[in-house]
Amino acid sequence: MKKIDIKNKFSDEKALKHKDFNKVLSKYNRLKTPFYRSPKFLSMVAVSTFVIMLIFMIDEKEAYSNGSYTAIYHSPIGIPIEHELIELTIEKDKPTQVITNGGTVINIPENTLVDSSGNLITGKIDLKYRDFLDQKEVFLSGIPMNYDSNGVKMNFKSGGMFEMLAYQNENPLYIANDKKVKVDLASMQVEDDYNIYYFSAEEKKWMYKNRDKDGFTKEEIAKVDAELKNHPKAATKQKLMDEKDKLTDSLMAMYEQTPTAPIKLDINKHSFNINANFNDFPILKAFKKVKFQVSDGDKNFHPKYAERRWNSVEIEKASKKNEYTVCFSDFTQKVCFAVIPVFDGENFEKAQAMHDALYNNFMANVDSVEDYKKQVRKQLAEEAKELEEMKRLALIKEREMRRLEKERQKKLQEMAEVNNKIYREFEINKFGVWNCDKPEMLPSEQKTAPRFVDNQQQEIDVNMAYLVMLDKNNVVKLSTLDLAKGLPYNPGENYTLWTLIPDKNAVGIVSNKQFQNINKQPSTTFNMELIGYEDFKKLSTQELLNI
Amino acid sequence: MIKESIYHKTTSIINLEYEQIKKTQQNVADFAPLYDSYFLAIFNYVLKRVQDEHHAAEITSDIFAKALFKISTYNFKGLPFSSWLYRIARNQLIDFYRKDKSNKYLQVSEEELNYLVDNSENDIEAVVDKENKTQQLVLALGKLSDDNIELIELKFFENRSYKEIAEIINTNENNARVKTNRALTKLKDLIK
Repeated sequence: MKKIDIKNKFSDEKALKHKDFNKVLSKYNRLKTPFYRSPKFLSMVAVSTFVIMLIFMIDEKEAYSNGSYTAIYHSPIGIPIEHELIELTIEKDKPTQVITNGGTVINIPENTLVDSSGNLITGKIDLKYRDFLDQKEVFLSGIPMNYDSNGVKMNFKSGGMFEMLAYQNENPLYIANDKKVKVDLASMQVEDDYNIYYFSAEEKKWMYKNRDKDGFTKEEIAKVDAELKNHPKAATKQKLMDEKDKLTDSLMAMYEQTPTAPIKLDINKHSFNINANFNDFPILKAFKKVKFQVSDGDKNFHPKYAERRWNSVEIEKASKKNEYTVCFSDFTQKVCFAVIPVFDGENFEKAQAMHDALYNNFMANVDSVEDYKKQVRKQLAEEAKELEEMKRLALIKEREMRRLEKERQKKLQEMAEVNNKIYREFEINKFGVWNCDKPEMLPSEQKTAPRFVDNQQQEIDVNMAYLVMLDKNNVVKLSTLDLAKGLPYNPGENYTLWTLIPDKNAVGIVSNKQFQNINKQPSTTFNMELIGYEDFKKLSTQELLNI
Repeated sequence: MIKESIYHKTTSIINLEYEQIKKTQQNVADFAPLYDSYFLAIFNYVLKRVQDEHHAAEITSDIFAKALFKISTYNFKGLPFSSWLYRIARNQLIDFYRKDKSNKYLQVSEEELNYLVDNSENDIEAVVDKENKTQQLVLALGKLSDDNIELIELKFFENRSYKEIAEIINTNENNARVKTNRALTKLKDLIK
């Protein structure tokens, strides 16, 4: 909610005290000069180097660095995934176990947590925990998902990612050098081909740690997929998807019929009326109270033509928006002009009122179809979620049949059934962001030059885009520069695109259906559905993926 | 009654401005006349939306610096330069609010509220209680979504044309008109 104050206008005299063109120029110069070449950056580097040298010289014994405790990640739409704050007490020589709201199990062995000087700590501590388990949460995290594998640019398909930080009296805590905290992450992804990575806040990149031991093989997943394919819910999901696609097509057709607003006569431009017998020229009836204003680009018009009596008149819609071509002819000559139908005075007011009524009616119809589409989308999301849950549960039961021997795994198995989650084991030696991932090649088989419009065909400037894979938890960030080189995709794969439109506080979403219709075209106009940031937060991942 | 809008420009002034923009594209010092023309308008626009005048001054200089930085990409559409400038200002304020949501703020005068009541087509006057008019309006405005309140600000507190509002919020004129009417209806419902 906005704070609103009643105040009188600030005096111009006081305002002008803040006028400073030199300041604008200096800020402009800073924008122009890359930061790494700016005097501020160079002096910061010099000071930092000096401070680092000083730290090494003064206190070589300091065991744990404070500066690299965590990196700050920015949600691209300013809506972060909030941390779960867990308060717990650490007792000397005793292990501690915590289960988060999402079912993740954190095991802290005895005598594991230390302060920045390396002293073991006991007593009350605060754990800050959050996880990022699907495409929406990865997107909102703002954590980079790109990975450089020996110079090859790749992107992570994530099996589950979390951030865990620990504090005592607001001071950061660390994991002692010879210890590890075990985190059994309650994940939504079922595959088994993942590795474990740690995001280094110092180097701003992912570090490979070890291979993930959990998850299911491709064969196990394929077996369950085949069983679920014939489930009635799969048929319902398909039916809802078809219904949603039909509604999208209907909406596109409706938007093409958007009532055109009347244009007011510009008295500085040439214009003329057509006086004709409407019985001879029935097509002109529609333009009865209209004037024709000569278009700016027209080179043929001369006022003398308006004085003349012509035998015949033809009028047809030109390709340019709002523009028509009017041709007059008689036995000796034919002239054509590019014109725009306009209204003057009272006629304009009437036309405007008529247009507003039509437009309101049109929007009411559009809104009702949009509302229905939202309902279908919601149902579809629920069906898709239930199918995903059924798949996980079926796989968990498959695993049960393998009769795992270890006690911990048995316990996790029970918990998995309760929580309907796949557990992934991490042994972490640092607080920060950990990820169970598989680097994948970026889509590269085809590129199309994208143009983005909203439902009303209004061109939209896209600031940043995220190519979201529907069948795996992989979100590829694309800058404006990347998009300028063409939107990459692999035909046959399922995508949606989430674009940032900061000046509308919205995320523009391109549906998977539009990707399927690209047909290797060199350029494509994508029709985006705009979802406000707050609505984006409220919609479930499945709803967002099925737009 | 609010005086004639300062945002409306004649075609000749718009064309003169464009000549100045073309000069600025060659030499940044030529931006000074544009800065002189628009400083007060932009500063007041920002000051209405942030509580502190020093913050407003910083944001205003950021806006002009950004405008200067982007002026080489300026695309003349026959609209006043101010529309483009306000779009930058709007984005700069969105950035400012994003850092801290508690920054969201709007300053209005009683004169502006009276103008809103007198000029809204959906007859807000019929639903307000004359004695508590200001309080009622402030309370209802505070409950509107950011998008809706912005439309009311632009149309009634700043007296802009729908064409200009469309340019600032990056939509078409029809949509700006219809959305503003809907915002007014919501405001009326909140007052009832």
